[in-house]
Amino acid sequence: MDKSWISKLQNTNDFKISLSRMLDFSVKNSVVGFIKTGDVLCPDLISDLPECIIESILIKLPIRDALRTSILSSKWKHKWSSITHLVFDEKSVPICYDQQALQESVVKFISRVLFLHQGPVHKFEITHFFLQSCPEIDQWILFLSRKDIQDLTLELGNDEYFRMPSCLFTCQKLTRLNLSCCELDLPHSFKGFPCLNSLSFNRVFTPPEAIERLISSCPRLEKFSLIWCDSLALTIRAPQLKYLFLKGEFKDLCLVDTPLLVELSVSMYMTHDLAEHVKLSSNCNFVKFLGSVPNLERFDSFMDFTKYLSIGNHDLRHLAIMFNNLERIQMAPVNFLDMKERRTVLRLITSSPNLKKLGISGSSDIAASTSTEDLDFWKNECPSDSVLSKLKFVDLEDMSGVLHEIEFIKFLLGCSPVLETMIIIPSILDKECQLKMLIELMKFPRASSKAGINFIRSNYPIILSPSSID
Amino acid sequence: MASSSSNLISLKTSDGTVFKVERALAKTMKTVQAIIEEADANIYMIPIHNVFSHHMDMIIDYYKLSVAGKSKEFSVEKLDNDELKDFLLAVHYLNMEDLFEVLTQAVADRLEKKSVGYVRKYFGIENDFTPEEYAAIRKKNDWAFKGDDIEPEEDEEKQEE
Repeated sequence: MDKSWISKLQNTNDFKISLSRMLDFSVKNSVVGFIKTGDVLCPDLISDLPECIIESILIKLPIRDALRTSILSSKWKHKWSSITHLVFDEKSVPICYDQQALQESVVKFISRVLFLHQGPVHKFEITHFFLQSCPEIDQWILFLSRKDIQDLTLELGNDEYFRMPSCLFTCQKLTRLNLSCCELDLPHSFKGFPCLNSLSFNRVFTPPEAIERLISSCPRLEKFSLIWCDSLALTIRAPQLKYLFLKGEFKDLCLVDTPLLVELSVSMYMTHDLAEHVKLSSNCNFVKFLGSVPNLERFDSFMDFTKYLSIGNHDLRHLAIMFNNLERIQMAPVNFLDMKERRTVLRLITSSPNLKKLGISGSSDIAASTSTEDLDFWKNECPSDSVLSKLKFVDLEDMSGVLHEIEFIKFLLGCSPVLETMIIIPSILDKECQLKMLIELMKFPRASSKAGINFIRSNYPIILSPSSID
Repeated sequence: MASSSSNLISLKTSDGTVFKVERALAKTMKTVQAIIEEADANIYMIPIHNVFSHHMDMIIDYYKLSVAGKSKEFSVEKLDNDELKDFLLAVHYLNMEDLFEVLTQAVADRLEKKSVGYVRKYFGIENDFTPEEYAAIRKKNDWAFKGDDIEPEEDEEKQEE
């Protein structure tokens, strides 16, 4: 083996194959690894290193640094140009405060890099929020669609949404797609992304049927995130889906065929009209949404979602739904004055025997009420034999001290034998009321001898450990 | 005598030291795993060339930290550039994915924003451009060299030598 042979091989595909075979050979025959032997290779070890090591290092450098390696030596002239990950973020272009100049500079830079690039591009990412929509992006997508792209992230500025060209849908090797501030529609001929594992749309303008069709035509989809893509009535059919994150204004939400779902987070904003319209519907949203997700491990319900979920919940006592893997629940806000919302929260908690952490925020726009209305609810609908045998941590915020909230706390304290910490943050500022609330809470029996209540009044937490009870 | 049902695998480094490691750790070394799987009989001792005992010490440290969920605490800061390169080659030979990623990231971090001269020295790369070639490439890719945050080229005048 001599130097010239190695340099000849270097820039060809044969290099990789020969090298891996040589390594196999050396492993099988316990030959001393040739990489280290000084008399076989020149002292400059790195330039003749397996391309995978160089590639691994180059893709971890900001793109400008990778580019500058072209000037190291003649062997390095083109090494950068075959890196398979191209990431353009704030570090990629010198900082410039003139928006126009920055835009031009970024566009030119990216176009040049792509033009000089050779070989496949597996990952392409633009997370440069100053980059506004422009015609060049069309060309970049076309270029990438011919380069076996697998991981594509396009997070653009929001002056004008970029209209995605249809060539995106020919990228059959896509495993991850992350778009922000774009507009798209599925071509009729689109049959799906067979390898797509993760999909994220943030402010993407697209007809709802397109989203549903997209999801159901990606058989391997495991993660789906939809943020601020508004006014959608969405039905999700995704047999492999494990992680679902939804945020925005939705007209209607329905989970059909998501049996493997493990994490679910919904922040739903309901306009007033929508709320009225939906109230008239007779569907039980709790069943519609949570009826077939038995493997759920984590559930977050924010903004109006608890309200949405409680629509149509006339009587949940006969439901056979159990969430045996559900360990973490967060619901914020919950209006404890609304019977259906109380029922929803109670039903969810009592169907989760392995719950470990619970976080609930009260509704901040109800004034403290001393009304005893409807307190029978707790006698009638609160299962007395309920045990949350794994619940260790409870965080209750924005507690306005309404009796229903107090009853809820009483219920929690009474059914959690391993509870360690309960944090209570009241929303009422009146110290008298706070004290009254505190005194009430102190009276409640606790199933857990270890339970400590942290009652946080502004900056002075009052920590009530079991030993401070009289 | 180590049998295949034992939980410890013996690895012999280039400097002759024998390390007895858990099977789970040996599994993270794909090269070693391949040897074990291909062997018909029980393997007594596996020689790992290109790997020295100080490399194995660090590998074991990393393994212990990652099992405890503290892999982020693993640091190669105390290694100088040559030692880091050597370690990287050893880990590459053993084909250990996670540690390889950690080390290539460490190398990348040391190179980020450095001047071309520094990178040449670090890797031991000889500049074989003629001054004209150098100037031509530099000019062509000038757009990549702009920026206050990058170290200036100290050795550009030296190109004339």
